[in-house]
Amino acid sequence: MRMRTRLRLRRSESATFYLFISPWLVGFFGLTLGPMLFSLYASFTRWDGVHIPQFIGLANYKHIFTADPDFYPTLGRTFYYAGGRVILGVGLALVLAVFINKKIFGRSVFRSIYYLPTVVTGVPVYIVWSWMFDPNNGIINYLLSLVGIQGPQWLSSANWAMPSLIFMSLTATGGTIVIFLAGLQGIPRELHEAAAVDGAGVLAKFRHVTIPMLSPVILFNVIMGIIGALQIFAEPYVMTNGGPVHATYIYGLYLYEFAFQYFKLGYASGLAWILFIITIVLSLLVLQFSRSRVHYMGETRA
Amino acid sequence: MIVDGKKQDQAQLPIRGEQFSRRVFLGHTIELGISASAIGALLTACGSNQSSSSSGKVPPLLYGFYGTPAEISIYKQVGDLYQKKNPDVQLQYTYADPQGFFEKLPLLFRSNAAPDVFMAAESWVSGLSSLGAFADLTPYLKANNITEEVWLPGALNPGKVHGQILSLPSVVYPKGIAYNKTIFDKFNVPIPEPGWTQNDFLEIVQRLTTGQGNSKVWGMNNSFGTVYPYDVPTLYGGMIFDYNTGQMTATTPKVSSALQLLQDLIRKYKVMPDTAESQSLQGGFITGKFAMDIYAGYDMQDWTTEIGDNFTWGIVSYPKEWVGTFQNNNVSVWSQSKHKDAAWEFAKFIATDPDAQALQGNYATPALSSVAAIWQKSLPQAYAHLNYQPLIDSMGDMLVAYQGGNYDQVWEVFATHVEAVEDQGAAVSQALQDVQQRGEAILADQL
Repeated sequence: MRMRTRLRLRRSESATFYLFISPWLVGFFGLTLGPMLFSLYASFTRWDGVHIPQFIGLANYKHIFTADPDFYPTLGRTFYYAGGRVILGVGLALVLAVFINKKIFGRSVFRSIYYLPTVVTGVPVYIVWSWMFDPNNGIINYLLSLVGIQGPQWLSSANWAMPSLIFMSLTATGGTIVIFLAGLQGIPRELHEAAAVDGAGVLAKFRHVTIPMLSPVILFNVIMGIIGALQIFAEPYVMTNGGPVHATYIYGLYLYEFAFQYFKLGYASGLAWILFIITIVLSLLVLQFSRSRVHYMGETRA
Repeated sequence: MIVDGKKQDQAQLPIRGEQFSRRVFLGHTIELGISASAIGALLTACGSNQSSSSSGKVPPLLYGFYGTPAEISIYKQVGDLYQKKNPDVQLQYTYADPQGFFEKLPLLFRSNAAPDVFMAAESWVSGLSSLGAFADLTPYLKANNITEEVWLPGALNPGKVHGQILSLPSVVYPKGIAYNKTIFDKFNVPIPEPGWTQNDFLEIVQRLTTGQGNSKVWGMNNSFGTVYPYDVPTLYGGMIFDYNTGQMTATTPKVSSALQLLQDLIRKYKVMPDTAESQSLQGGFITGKFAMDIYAGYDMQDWTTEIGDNFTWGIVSYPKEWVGTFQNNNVSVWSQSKHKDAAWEFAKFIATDPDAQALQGNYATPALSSVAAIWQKSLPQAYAHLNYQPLIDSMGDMLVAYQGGNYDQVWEVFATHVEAVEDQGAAVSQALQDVQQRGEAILADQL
């Protein structure tokens, strides 16, 4: 009797589970997996989006890797952006999270302020940023001028355009900060107390307690950051259109132009799959690297 | 990219006689939303036959267009007028913003749900024609005894693609030079007259480039294009490729001379900002920091409104050595339309009916010669200082900057090199040789 009740309960739980997850499943199979598989097929075709795709085997991939002069430079610029955004972004978010985690006056206000740019995002923000970066009338150069610094040309300079985009991305680390905060609050206070008893200072506690205990969260943020950074599109599309002199012409723009301006959807599909594979490989590399660096609570190592 | 026959950054054009109130804006916004939903539904239907929605005897025609809310309102008025004159015809409208409409059109063609009649910028016709979406209107024009002369000089050129006529002109955007009369008067420089020369131009820009820093006034604004540099190679009538033969022509003397002139204006004479400076001088001619700028018909309402009483200005045709590009809007018939004859009749109405043309004159110059001839006289007093006739007279020689598909890719390569020449002082000949080589590879590419 007890067995039957348990079985019924389990079935009921399963039904509830599938009921709740079904919208995602419908969305995934209907709107994500199908188009993904079709784009994989399209990457082996010559297709303008209107006529019937013509199968051409690996020709798109061969051209991308051997004959497209924009592929490697564009990929390089995208890595440059992703590297800057992930390393600086995760680092800054961690430092800010540690400070905000302190019991200081107005802590919740600071949390809201840092999270605000994450809520208010998108094209309007990028347009406002491009005004702020205006070399002559923008507020950034105005503030720099107050301390005697002549600001650079920012988005109009081939040297400064990409750093400008990276700099802008640092203001939208609110989501990462929140995740770090959750991780920080999950670190048992006893560990810090034990370290203090052993004579550890603030930096030593941060290095030998906080960082190891937070390493799974850092890993998560790094992987999510890489995925997000490699997919960047809207910022350069709105703010620089890839310029000046292709300085911010990144993979997303490159792919977009092939698909929707040059009507080469087969080729663009190939580019998209290459980016997908690069993202997976990078994520796997990070995971591999993390095996010896990431510590999970309760985990024992040989 | 010039996606709608005009620069994308232009602000909304208020319709003459219609106050652009919040209510109107909200109304248009809702209409745009409904339109977007309709396009979404069409895409979802994917392959559905729009004529199945007809409840009357005559199947409705789907009419697609794009633009600002003000322009969309005009297109709808033209459609309403046609239905009023032809009670047996039923039109359905679908519309979007220019970029959205341009990107959705290929999908609508693919899903067999494209509008029977649709508007297309001059730059779209060549690109989208490669998708086989345009019906050849040549037989209809012959059957109706309609010749090219009914429209302004050159107006039909964008529709002529590989021996076919794929679109009819609805409006044109005459181009020339805008001058800041206040600056000219301040330095006692005579206003340029039609027929002026490039030497006159060079003398003026050097005399009128004055000041430093924030108070600097430039002789000329850099509106020839860097991101979309269609007016660069065409300045003396050259082109970086031959659209009809598919051959690259980037190293021809006309292209080379044009790019050299622009580099000289920036680096030798220092009378025009380079790309970086141009971007930092947001606003262009209307800021009053430029003695001259390139003017196109679509600037008329925005500039007049924004300049207001800040300074006086006028327009003049290009120096006589210059050619430049032609821009306009066109009406086309979808090649797979099941109601092609009916679609042709409506397209013909848009492009040749005097009443329809007069309506479209609310936002641009009508393409029909007879209406264009009286158009300027009918403009409000606010535009009295703009003498369009010399600009219209020079349109016949202007070139169409064919775009779309591989040609867009070539333009992208050219744009990068123009920036390098203007901003970094790269050698013109080397830059054009690079463009030539890259372009040849792109045009030969069969992927």
